[in-house]
Amino acid sequence: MNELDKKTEALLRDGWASPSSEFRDSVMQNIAAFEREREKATDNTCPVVQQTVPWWQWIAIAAGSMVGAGQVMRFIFSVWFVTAAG
Amino acid sequence: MNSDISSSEPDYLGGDPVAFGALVKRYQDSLFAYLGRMGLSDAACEELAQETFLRVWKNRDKYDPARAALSTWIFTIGRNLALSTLARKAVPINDDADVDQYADLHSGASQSADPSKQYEHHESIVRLRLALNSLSVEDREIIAACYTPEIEYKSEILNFSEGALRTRLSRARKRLSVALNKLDTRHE
Repeated sequence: MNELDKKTEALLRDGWASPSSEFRDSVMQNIAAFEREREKATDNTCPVVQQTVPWWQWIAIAAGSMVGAGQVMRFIFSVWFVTAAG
Repeated sequence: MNSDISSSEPDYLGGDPVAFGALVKRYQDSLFAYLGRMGLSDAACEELAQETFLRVWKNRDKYDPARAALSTWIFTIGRNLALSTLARKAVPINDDADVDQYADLHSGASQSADPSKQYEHHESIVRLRLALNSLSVEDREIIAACYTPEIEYKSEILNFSEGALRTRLSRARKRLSVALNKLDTRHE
């Protein structure tokens, strides 16, 4: 290391002020506030209820879908029939 | 890499606020000095040091002692915060106030009010801070890391090889010396 005088060297190493006496308390208060917020956020989370669909509902859904699809086909054919007859 | 070092340390990051308070006490002065060497004002240093410790607490589960020593990890967080602050310049670094203060101190305008060594020290530190602020962020970063003994693997933090770091430090120190001389000439 060169060019810098001894005084500047010493200042660079040890010349800096320490943080204020309240610094650590302030850090710990910030951490406590962060933890409180986090706990609050966890408490407010709604529990997720896992529901399973029973087998007979699956059958009902499938049957409904087939009926619906049949009706759509019926509509398309009727439109085609009317158009073709006209 | 440094698991042997960390294993001998108390469990600062276990979630116990008392233990974490001990960690803050252990590193607060050196972190504050490190940020000061980056050219930040006392107020900015305090704000960034606060934020650094808060981030250390929030991310304590992510710390891996096998990858870096605890001190290196803490100073890396501080360094990243300082760099983004210097890039944004959102926090006052000091400039104008320090220039005026230095001119007053150097001309002896307020010397009679405080003729002690404390005054002399204050003048020197303001002068040094002004000179540091006239350097590039990269130069300041190198000086800050190399004068902080708590940062063990400086070349890793700065992403330079050992040889490149020595060369760059030497250049940064020369530039700092020039900046100090310029400052003295301007105020004579």
